[in-house]
Amino acid sequence: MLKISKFVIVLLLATLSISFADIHWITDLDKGFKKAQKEKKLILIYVYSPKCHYCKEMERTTFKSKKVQEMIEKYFVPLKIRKCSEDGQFVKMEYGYFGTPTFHFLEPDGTKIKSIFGAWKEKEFLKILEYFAKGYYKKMNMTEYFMRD
Amino acid sequence: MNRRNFLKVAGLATSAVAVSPILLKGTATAEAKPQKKSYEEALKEITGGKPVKDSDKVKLIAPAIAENGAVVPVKVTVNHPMEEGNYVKAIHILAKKNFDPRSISAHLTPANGRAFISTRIRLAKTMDVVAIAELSDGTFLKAEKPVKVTIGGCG
Amino acid sequence: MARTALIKVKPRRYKVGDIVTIASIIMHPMHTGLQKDKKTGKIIPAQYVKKIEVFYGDEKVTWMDLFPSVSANPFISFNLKVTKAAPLKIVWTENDGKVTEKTIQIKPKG
Repeated sequence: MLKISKFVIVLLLATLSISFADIHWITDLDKGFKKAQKEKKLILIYVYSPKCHYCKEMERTTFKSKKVQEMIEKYFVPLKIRKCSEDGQFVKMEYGYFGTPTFHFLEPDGTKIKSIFGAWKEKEFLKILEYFAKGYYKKMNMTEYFMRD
Repeated sequence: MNRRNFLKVAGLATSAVAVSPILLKGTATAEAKPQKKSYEEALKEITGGKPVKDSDKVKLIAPAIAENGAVVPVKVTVNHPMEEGNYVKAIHILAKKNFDPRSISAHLTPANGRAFISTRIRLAKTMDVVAIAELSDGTFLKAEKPVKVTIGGCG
Repeated sequence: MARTALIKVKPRRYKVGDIVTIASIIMHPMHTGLQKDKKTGKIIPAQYVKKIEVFYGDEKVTWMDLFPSVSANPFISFNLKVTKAAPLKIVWTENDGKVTEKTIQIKPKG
């Protein structure tokens, strides 16, 4: 009986940790920018539209990936901004708009590094994140980076 | 013709907003002219059914991940002489899953000095890019590379 | 309405016997014939650069068949073995027969 309840507890904890595992999106632009400056982290702005099928696809698959979550948590301040919100309008004017989903990668001080359009599968998104996270963006453009052997 | 002008024009060309991949899929109506072609059909047009061998001599450079499917740089070099009677007659670049897989067929002569082509192609979605070298002796060599593009997005 | 086209030689200084790289670009939308005009909903008819021919002096040294899979504003780069001082002419032909031409001078030093 004790064995079974221990098992249940472990299972419960495991389930809880899975359900809490998600990207801790910040939805306030100001708050996110301040955090990035304080922690000297790159900023990732995810511009989405609730009507967009491809955003939902990202949220259903790629964003649920543990590896993606870990990489984002470690190297970026993740901002989730709705395209049609006030923050969304600012982001559009400041960084451009290419459709949804768009990912703007910025320096900790808010300077734009690059914007990427479209939904991506886990494997590819991880590689894209790595290009920024590991600082390759300082040495070469993204196409050059992916053209290396 | 100065360098800055050339780069500006080229830069304008490359900064074009990502074209949604759906534009390259078959949205043609019954009256539209373009015909969907399979990779095998496109290949046959080029080789006439002759065998094509994978070869290290064909060096195909393309990004493993293309951030913009509308503008994917592709470079092909063929490590083979370019002499009279023994040269690379043509380099063909194909995009396997495009509506029409053919993108460019560059016919070369020994006057080129080197078998090399660099261009930019459109990929409707993730697919293999194929470079085929046609030699003057009638043989065909190839190299392939998978290129990933975005799943898609909303305008 | 003439299309803007540019040709560039790299390196800028070369001599007879060198292999140079010729970069070419022509401003052209390369309509595939599969796209719909967002405003009218009608298919934009296929309009693309179909052929590129390269003449070095009197000789046609390279020619290419292009298909709508080539990106807008076709950029093509290739090599040329410098054998003499002569004009290098590139002719771009579109599927409707429209032609654009551009010539530069190949001037080897020494």
